[in-house]
Amino acid sequence: MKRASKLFSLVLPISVLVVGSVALSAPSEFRGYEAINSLLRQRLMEPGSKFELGIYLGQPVRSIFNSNLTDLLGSYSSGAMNSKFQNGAANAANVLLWHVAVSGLARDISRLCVEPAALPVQPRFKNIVDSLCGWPAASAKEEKVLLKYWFALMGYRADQAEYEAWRDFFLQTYANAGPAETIAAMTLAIGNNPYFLLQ
Amino acid sequence: MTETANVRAKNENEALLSRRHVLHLGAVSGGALMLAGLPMSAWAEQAAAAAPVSDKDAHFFLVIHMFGGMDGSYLFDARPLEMTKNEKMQNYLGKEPVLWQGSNGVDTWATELVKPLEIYKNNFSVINGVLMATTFDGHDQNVNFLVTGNAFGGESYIPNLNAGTKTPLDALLAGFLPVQANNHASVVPMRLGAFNSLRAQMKVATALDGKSPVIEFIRSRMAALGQGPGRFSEGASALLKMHGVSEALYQKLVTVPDIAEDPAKDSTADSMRLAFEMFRYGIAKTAILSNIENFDTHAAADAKKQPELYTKAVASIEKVFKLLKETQYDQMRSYMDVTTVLISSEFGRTMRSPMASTVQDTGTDHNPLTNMMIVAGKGIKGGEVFGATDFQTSDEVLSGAHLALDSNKLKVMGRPFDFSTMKPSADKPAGLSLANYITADSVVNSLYGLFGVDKSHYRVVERNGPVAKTIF
Repeated sequence: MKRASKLFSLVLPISVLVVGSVALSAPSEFRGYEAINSLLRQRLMEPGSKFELGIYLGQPVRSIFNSNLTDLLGSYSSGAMNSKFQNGAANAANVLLWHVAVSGLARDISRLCVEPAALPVQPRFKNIVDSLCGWPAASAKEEKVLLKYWFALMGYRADQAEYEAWRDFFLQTYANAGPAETIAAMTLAIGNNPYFLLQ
Repeated sequence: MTETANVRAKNENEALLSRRHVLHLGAVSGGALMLAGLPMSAWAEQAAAAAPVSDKDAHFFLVIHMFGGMDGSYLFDARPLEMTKNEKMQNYLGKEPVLWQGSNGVDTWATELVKPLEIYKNNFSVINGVLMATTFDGHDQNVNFLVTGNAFGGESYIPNLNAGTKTPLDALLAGFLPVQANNHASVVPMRLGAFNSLRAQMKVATALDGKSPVIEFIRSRMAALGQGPGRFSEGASALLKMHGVSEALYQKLVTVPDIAEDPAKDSTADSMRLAFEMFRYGIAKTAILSNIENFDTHAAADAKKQPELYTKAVASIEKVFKLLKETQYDQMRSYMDVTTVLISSEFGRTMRSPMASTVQDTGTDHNPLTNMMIVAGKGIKGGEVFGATDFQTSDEVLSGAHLALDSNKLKVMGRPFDFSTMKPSADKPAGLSLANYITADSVVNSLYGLFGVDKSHYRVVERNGPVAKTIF
């Protein structure tokens, strides 16, 4: 726990600066498909990866004229006269689409335990997942393992209380669950957290 | 969850799934459904649950948008060949039009191409001479004008039709519709293939079920972060609120049966079938099918293909009508009985290009001074003709209003309309007053009337002008 506190004391002020620099008016909107997708590429995938979160929506992901499901996850319009961020506010459709997309990613990450080629992830992230593959063994529940997974996916925007809530939930509710189920649920919980999804 | 519990859950899930689902899932997911205990039972339980309920007040909306700028002169706003002989307008069909008599006493010239639609005459009405964004001639600007009432975009009329018994989605969009609408977040681009793929993904995704521990946890964090002031908290709070609505959408989507794609790969039939199921299951009230035929015939070579182009367009419309008539919504009613249909484009076309030396070798440009529309189905009397255009003969004296907008006399223009008699007026006003014409705003307000939309949404003609009058 001490280790966690130290890390958070270091990163929190930076994250506050980042979050605080956004315009202070309307409720925070989704970061948008492109932002989340490139974030996932940087944090999880091999360099140069062409990973697209949109594959979990079952559609080609590159569209013209905003006519694809991924455009509903928050995107810049490509109208001829102006360009603005649209579909950033939560609604029934995009919340469901985020859920399905993140759920697909979570499922593939959890498959890495038994199928290393399930996703083209970078070795560093694969090592972190491997540590969790021993779940529910004690080694997989160590603070350093959980913290690494949290930071690998969430980055440094969320505060320590958020991490602790996540950690405690899985240590209790998933105490005896299998690794695939646990890793998938852990990923889903991070991927649907407002710190992850919202600007 | 213990290993034993996992095995038990898995067995229960597999027992609940139909053989068809299992085969389908196996093909799509590559065995991924073996993973978690959570997802499958919720899916199967919900899929096996509610059948759609017939609603006595059911009212849906289908938009067929012929993108590119459709030339009414090949359909229900034709011109005699005299216009072509006198070099006023192209007519690559080369045949005299026939009279299409409206049951309301208003007639129009139509080409022989519309003949396949005659059997549906009592189901639809024609609106000629609809003024669009008269001073802008871009595709986007006029789509914006049609959908939002403003060439630069704004509030779309489509979500406003989804009043009363609100559905989780405002509309399905199949195809391309470049509109800058600030309320289209729930207008979902979706074709049948994509829908089936999404459903396959949903089936292997963790169920969006508020009773599952992980979903409950996710919501608890949204709730915790939604406390207090600040935009981030407000965003988290909004996310939580929509998570519940999204669960309702999820539950509806899982109850829809698998929809087979048309064996002949007919995208219109596929989109219609998807729309019908979305209507029947209360997921959306509106479907938009945007046709991507090349109606934008600037080049003479393209314009010369218009007879074939509009033959195909009519065939598409006929197919839509046939599907609406022959597909039952419930035991008593077809989808034609419960669906209002609007077939339109973003504008009409000029009679010829100013660059062409002859009407035998000309393309056509954009003409926002007229637009031909067809309305059909629920709330439409059928067989009527509304509106008309000028320039019916090559020597017609045009109004000052027309000449101010078209000094080169390349365009036909909607004629003034007498809203008290519901007939075109013979007036030739010196200046343009949009309140005296059928505009896209009149069409939208008429739709608002049919769907019982609150008057506060009614469109006005011009800035600070009066509310646009309705025509049906």
